[in-house]
Amino acid sequence: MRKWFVHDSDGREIYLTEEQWEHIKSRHPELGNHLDDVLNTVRRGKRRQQPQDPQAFVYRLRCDKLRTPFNGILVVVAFRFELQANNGNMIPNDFVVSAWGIMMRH
Amino acid sequence: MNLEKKNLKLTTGKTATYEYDRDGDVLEIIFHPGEATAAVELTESIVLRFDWEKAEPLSLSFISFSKLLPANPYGEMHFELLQDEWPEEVREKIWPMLQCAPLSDFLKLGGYAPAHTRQIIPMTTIKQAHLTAQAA
Repeated sequence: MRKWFVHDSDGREIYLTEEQWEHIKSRHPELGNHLDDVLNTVRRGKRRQQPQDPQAFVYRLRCDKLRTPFNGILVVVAFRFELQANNGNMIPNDFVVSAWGIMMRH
Repeated sequence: MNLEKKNLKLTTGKTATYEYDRDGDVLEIIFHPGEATAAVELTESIVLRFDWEKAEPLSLSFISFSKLLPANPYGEMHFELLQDEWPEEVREKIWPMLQCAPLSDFLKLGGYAPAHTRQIIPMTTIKQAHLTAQAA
């Protein structure tokens, strides 16, 4: 279920499903109490298009709320399209795939 | 979520979990489940989570995994290791981990020597045969 919606610095709406968040927490428990920080990374983070995949973007942002030595969060977002049911138009379907606490210099 | 899971035998004799998110195109190889105490971007598409005290890998993630495997016209793809992004204290932990199993089961190290410079750029390739043929 699409539960959380945020806009990135370019105004793109990106969502995170409850199922995906549960998966992130179970695989990367170090982020377990940092849902707001993950969403904030999408909202305010620096965005990088993946060199081999134009439909995947990485958002990175420093975060001092994590347990040291972590000092940042990395979020992968898939930029896809889906068919709109009522008129058959293609519309953006941009969603959070996963997230990691990371150690970063920049 | 459209998750593909299987077990992989490691050269250490242990088993890792292969989890591929087909919708998001992210593969995670989990060596030990649990909380990581450190993690870095090895390359723009590979993230390593590890135990800081033991310098032991916990998981290796491949972003846009399906796009990382196809060979280019010159052979297999090489990815730059982002050592300049790693804090100084992290480098001494990461290099030894990269040189032995289980990480060496999946990544091969190399170096690129650009023309007109003495600098060697550390690179890695993905050992895809291990990922596709080692289902336990």
